[in-house]
Amino acid sequence: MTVNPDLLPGPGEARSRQRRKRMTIYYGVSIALGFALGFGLANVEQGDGNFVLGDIESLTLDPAVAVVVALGFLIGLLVLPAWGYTQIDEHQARTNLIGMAAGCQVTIAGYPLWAALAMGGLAPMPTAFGVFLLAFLGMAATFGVLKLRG
Amino acid sequence: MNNRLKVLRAERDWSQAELAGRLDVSRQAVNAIETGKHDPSLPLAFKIARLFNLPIEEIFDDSQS
Repeated sequence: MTVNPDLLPGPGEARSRQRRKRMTIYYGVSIALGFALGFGLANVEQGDGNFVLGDIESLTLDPAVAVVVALGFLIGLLVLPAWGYTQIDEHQARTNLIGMAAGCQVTIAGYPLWAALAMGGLAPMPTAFGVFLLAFLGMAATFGVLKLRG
Repeated sequence: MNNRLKVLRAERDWSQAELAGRLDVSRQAVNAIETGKHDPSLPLAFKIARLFNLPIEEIFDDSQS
């Protein structure tokens, strides 16, 4: 059976598929690593503290486990994103930069705002993890809005 | 900035993904350029011009509409 060559996908389509596949693998590995670190940390931490609520002074980790977890965060939050930046085009890079700037701005505004509310007794005192979440969620929300707007 | 990218692409019967692959950018980038949401960098504009074998000013128009 012969196929009309005009109906075959062009070389550009193939390259686009490869790019999508590469990015899907990248996102998949990132999400899997995030879940593994989150659930892993929840299962190996010892003590009465709560990582999410910022009470990490009461938590302890076996030194070897701590090194593995730290390496996981290094790979998941620095090495993988840095590699990801080399794989994206200028439009995606612009979107990411706007998202990062928004995360930074939310943190700059959010911490003093949160601290003021806490001093007034209207919110719990700011925690390091809470400030981390401010930056992360500010960035992710902005990134999501930009993706939706195309 | 206005551009004729969508027309030029349609003349060749290329999908956005096909054009994206030929330019080595994402399909979303092609869509953003076509809809005027993203102005390409100078290197990408030259790449587009070379692909269509046209001068840049015949593809992109910086006059305010």
